Amino acid sequence: MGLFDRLANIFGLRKKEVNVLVVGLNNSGKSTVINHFKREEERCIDIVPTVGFNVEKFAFKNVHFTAFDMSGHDRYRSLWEHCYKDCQGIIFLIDSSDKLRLVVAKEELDMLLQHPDIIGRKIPILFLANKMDLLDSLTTVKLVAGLGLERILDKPWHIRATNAVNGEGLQPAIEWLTDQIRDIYINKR
Amino acid sequence: MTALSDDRPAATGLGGSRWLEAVWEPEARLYVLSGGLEILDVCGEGDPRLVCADLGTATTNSAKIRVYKGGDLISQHNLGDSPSGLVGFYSENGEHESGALAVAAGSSVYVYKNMRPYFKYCLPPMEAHAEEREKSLFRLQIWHRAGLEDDPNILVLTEDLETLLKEHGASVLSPRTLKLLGMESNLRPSFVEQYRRVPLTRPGVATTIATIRKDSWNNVASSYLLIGTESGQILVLDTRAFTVIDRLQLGWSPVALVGTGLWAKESRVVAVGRDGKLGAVKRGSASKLWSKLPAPAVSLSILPGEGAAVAVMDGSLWGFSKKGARLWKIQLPNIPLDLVGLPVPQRGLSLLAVSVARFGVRIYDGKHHVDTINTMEAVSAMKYGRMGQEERAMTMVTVGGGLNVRILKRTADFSTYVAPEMLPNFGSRFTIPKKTRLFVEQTIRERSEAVKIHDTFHRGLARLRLHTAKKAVDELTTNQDSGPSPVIIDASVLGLGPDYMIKICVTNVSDALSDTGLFIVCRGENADVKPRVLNLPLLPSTVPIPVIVKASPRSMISGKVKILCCKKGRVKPVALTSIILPAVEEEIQA
Repeated sequence: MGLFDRLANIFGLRKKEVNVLVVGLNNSGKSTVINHFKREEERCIDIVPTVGFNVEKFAFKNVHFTAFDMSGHDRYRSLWEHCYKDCQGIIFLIDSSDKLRLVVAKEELDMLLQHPDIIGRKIPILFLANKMDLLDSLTTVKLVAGLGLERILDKPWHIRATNAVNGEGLQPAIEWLTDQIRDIYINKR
Repeated sequence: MTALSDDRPAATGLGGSRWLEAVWEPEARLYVLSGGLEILDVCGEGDPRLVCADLGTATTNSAKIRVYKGGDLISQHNLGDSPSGLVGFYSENGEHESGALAVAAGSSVYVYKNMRPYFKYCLPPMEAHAEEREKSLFRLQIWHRAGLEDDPNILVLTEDLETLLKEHGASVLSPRTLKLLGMESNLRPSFVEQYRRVPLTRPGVATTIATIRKDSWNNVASSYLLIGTESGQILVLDTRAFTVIDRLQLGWSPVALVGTGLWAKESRVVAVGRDGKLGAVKRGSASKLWSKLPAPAVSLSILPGEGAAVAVMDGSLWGFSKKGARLWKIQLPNIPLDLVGLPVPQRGLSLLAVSVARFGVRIYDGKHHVDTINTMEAVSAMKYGRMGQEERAMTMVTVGGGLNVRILKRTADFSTYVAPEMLPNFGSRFTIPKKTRLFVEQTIRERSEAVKIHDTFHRGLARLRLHTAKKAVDELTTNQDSGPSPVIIDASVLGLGPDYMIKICVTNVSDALSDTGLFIVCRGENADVKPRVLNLPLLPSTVPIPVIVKASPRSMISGKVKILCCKKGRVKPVALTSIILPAVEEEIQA
């Protein structure tokens, strides 16, 4: 590879385009979170359950994100793994008021972490403990324990309580993800 | 490597459990029996919750309806009587808000909407036992007419009633008689005086409750209530006006009911009785007794294809077809406590879950055991269905009063065993005219069992090939009708190569002229032979006829040529010889 190619590469990366995967069980608020990251004029007013997946684009801190908003429904969860290969970051949504399905979220997370396309990679994972405004929501500490997040040692991860309806907690969360992606993928090259 | 530690190796592997434990509340203090659990969207918010008919403790009469969200109790409602069953239903098609709960308890059915009392339906009273009525009337009449101060007739009456009680048991007598018999004798005259003019009746008692779909197969579809009564009737109750729209005569009191089909079109109610009777009754026709089980039934569940499965107290599980024929019977390792259907539409399966004492919950695909849910205690009641946001939740109440919710994993696969006799028309229903029904059924069958059909086809094809090969071998080995060969051939190779000439001498060794239609075939292995097939003329006796063919090996290795003398119309060659073409020497460079 010549110098010219390398230069082209560098310039190509100047665009700083990254793919992030947004996953989580159904009704955890994935589409609502993505909707909040979009510009005011592009936002949808009502969010319906996603079928299959949606691709959304937004920019933050000079990084252009392409978000794969996956459907969390039971029968579409098998689609998640097809996007693992090409993503540079994962946003994992948890409905912190749904105690019953915490085990299901843990099961899906474990399957994600043990997937061959994820297992050896240093890929940042952002956990959003959504629906923090509800009375019976679990705290992030309880979620860390419940999902066994402390066992993830080789990937940078971060958990934050959010409320996707009014956007509370989303800004610092995406800032963390942007910084991580910048560190790992953009500054490295 | 991820840092996920090794303490959960079986979770994703094939050997792991197919179930995730979501809730385990050992101290929930629930006392629920089969048919006492329902999962219902009580508030119409799209968040189905668990509703339990808690029989309370054995000592105090404290039956309650308890509503759980996940593992948390959110409300409880006292009941005056012990519940015999509860069901959730919708009164309108496609309206989640119309969901309601019906609880059968004693002689009433209580209907709750939004978990608030909405309607109380009292069962119509039954006729009092003829003898009882007659005796009371007769004795009281006499007593009344005589107008005596003393009450010898009451003594006679009580004696008569007591013999009646001994003969028929308490269940056929009216509560008034039972109360009279239970009273102290000095209170009896006033009691008789107070009630003798009131006609003697017995309140109807609801023994079980179920639902039947009215006219729609949709997810949220209005249904009618089916109330089994002690008098051997099934009352069909409209859920809008709460009027009885039909009475199905069973003749014996049911303890569990299952409604199949649509009431408006074709429906059937399968019932199982206290004494082990199992039967079905259709709208507008008499009941049909399917079978008399050897022991009382524990629970009844629907099978795909409108059949029914029954768990029986002697530790067996029976499957019946929609016509009432026994399909299978399996022996369970211990006595069953409850039975529920476990549909897995993602895999096209319809399983059965049986709670077996000391063996947890065993899951069957038809008569084949496919999985076991191990539980801490024996499970006394189960319900499978959507709970909260989870569609595959199995709710279990243990005999010790614990509440356990397990969730079937998305990746769970029950295909360890492939059902060879899956019923056609599996789990899908269409409203179709009769003409195309056959076609649609065939298509459904083809779609749902494509793999099996393909396998069957391949099996047939392989069998056909085998058959053909066998026939060919037979033909080759047995077809020796010509006796010893009348023709001999010998061949020699001429030349130095790489092109050789093969001289074949064909001699007719018989005394007469040879057969017609003889020809020579040369099959070269690693050699080209030209011409490959030569027709022979009529061969005179004992004169060798030379035939020349050209042969050249394809490579430097020596070739082999097989020469067969065949006759047209016969499979087996008449004579056969083979010769080796010598290896070609390197061409000498001049």
